[in-house]
Amino acid sequence: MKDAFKILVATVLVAALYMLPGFESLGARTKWLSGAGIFIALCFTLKSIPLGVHLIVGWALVIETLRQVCHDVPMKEIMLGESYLIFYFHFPSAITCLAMFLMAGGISFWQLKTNDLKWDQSAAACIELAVIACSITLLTGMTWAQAAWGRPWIWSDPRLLTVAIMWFTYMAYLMFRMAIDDPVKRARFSSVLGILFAINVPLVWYAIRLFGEESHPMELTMEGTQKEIMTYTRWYGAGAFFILYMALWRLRASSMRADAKCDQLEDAFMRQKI
Amino acid sequence: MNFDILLNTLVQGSMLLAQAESQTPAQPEPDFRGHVWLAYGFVIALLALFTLFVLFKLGKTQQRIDHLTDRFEKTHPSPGSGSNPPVSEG
Amino acid sequence: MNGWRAFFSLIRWDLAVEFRRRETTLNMCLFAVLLLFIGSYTVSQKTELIDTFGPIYYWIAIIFSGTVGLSRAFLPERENGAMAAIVTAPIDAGVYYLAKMMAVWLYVLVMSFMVLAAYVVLFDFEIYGQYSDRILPITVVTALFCLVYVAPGVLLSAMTVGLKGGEVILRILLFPLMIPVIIVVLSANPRLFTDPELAVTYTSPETAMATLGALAAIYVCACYLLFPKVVEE
Repeated sequence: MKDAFKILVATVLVAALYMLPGFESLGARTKWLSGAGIFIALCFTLKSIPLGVHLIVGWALVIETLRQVCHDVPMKEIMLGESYLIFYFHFPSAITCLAMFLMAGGISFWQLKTNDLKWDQSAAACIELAVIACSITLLTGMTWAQAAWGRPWIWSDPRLLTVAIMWFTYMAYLMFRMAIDDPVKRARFSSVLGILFAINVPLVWYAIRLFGEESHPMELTMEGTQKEIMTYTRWYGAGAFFILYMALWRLRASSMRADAKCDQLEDAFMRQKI
Repeated sequence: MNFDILLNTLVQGSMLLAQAESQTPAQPEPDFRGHVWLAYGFVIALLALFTLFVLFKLGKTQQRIDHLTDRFEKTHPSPGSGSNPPVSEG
Repeated sequence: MNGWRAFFSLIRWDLAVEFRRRETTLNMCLFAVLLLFIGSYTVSQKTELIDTFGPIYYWIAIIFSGTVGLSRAFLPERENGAMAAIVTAPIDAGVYYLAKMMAVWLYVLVMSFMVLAAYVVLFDFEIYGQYSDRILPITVVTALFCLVYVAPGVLLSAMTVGLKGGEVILRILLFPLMIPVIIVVLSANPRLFTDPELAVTYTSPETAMATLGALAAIYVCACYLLFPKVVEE
C-alpha cells in the first residue's frame, strides 16, 4: 500500500514537472527530465567509488575540459568573439549550483524525517559547495559581461540574476549555521531553512522570467559545423565539473564528520577528567 | 602598346587604394584573451584552494582524533582488545 | 481543544498583549514614516523622479519596518519562557503558527495603511482625486504582499529569537526570500501608482494579486508544515 502511494506521488510529481512553463516543447521537457534523472543516477553511482579516486578523476576531467577549450573548440563565436570561451566554465558551475541547492533541500527534508545528524552534515557540505559554485558562476559571469557588454554587471541576464539571489540566500544560511552551537538544534533549524530556500529556487527563477525586465541572456549562437564540437565540449565540461563538485562534496562531508567525532571525543575526555 | 594608358591605370589604381585605406583605417579586433584567462584563473584557484584547505583541515582533525584516542587508551588501559572511547553514532 | 477555538483565542491573546504594550505597531509605524520622509526628501529636488522612485520607497518602507515587528513577534513567549510550552500545549503547533501569523499580519497591515497615508502626503499621490480608482487595487496588493512577507517571517522569527545577533540574522534570512515577491510588485508598480501610458512594460493589478495569492499559499502551507519542527525541543 505504501509503495503504491509512493509510486503515485512520484508519478504526480513527474507529471507536474511536465506542466512547468518555460520549455518550448514536450521533447525539450523530456530532454531536461532525463538529464536530471541521469544526474541523480550519477550521484548514487559516484558514492561507491573511493574518495581519493573520485577526487583525482574529477580534477583530471576538469583539466581535460581546459585542454579542450584551449585546443579543440573554435576560438571565436559569431556574436561575442573570443570572450565566449568563458561560457565553458560559466555554464557548468551555474547548473551545478542550482541542482545542488535543490538536492540539499531534499537531503534537509530527509534529515527532518530521520533525525540523523549525518544528513545535516551532508546537506551543509552540499550547500557550501553550491555556494562556491555560485561564486564561480558570478565571477566568471561578471568577467564575461565586462568583456561582452563593457560593464561588469547586467540586470537582463536571468540566469546570472537567479544565481546572485541564491548566493545571498545561502550565504545567509551559512551565517545562520555559524550562530548556533548546539548540533542537534543547528541540524533541525538548518534543515527547515534548507527546505524553505529550496522552495525559493524555482520561485526566483520563474519570477525573474515572467515578471522581470526584458531578458537578453548571454547565450551562444551555435551554427554550422562548429555546433557539434561546441555542444560536446559544453556538456563534457558540465559532466566534468559535476563529478568534481561531487568529489569535493564527499570530501567536505567527511571533514565535517571528522570534526563532529573530534568534538564528541573531547566532550567524553572532559567528562572523564571531571 | 599603350604604355601611357597602362601607367595611367596603375597610378589611378594606387591613388584609389591609398584613398580607400585612409578612409577606413583597419580596426584591430578587441582582445579578450586576458578576460578569458582571468575567468579560468578564478575557477581553478577557487576549487584548488578549497580542495587543499579541506584536505589540510581533515588531516589536522584526524591527527587530533588519533591523539585523543591514544590519550584515552593511556588513561584507561585494558589488556587485549583496545577499547575505544565512547562515541555515539548519529 | 478545538482547532478553531484555539486559533481565535490565541489571536485574541496576542492582540490583548499588543494593545496593552503598544510597542510593536507604534515602533513599526514611526520607522516606516521616517523612511518615507527621508525617501521623499531625496526625490524632492526633481519632481519627475517621484513617479519612478516614489512607489519603490513605498515598498521599501513596508519591508524594512516589517522586520521591526517580526523580530518582536515571539518576544512575549521568550520573556516568559513559554517557547517550550507551545509544543507541550494541547493544541497543534501549526495552529499556533497560523494564529501568530494572523496577529502579526494585522500589525503589519496597520503599519502599511499608515505608510499609504504618509505616501499620499509626502509623495503627492492624489488618491482622493486623479487616482481614486487605485484605492482598491493598492489596498489588496499591499495586503497580499504583507501576507507573503509575514508567512515566512514568523517562522524565521521563531528560529532567530534566542540567538545572539538574531535580529540581524532575521533580516539577512528574510530579504532574499522576499526578492521574487519584490520583483512581482515592482513590475505592477506603474499600473498601481502612476500613469500606465508612461510605462513600457507593466503587469496588471489582477495578475499581481493572483501571483501574490499563489505565493502566499505556497509559503503559508510550507511554514505551517515546518513550524512544529522549529519549536520542538
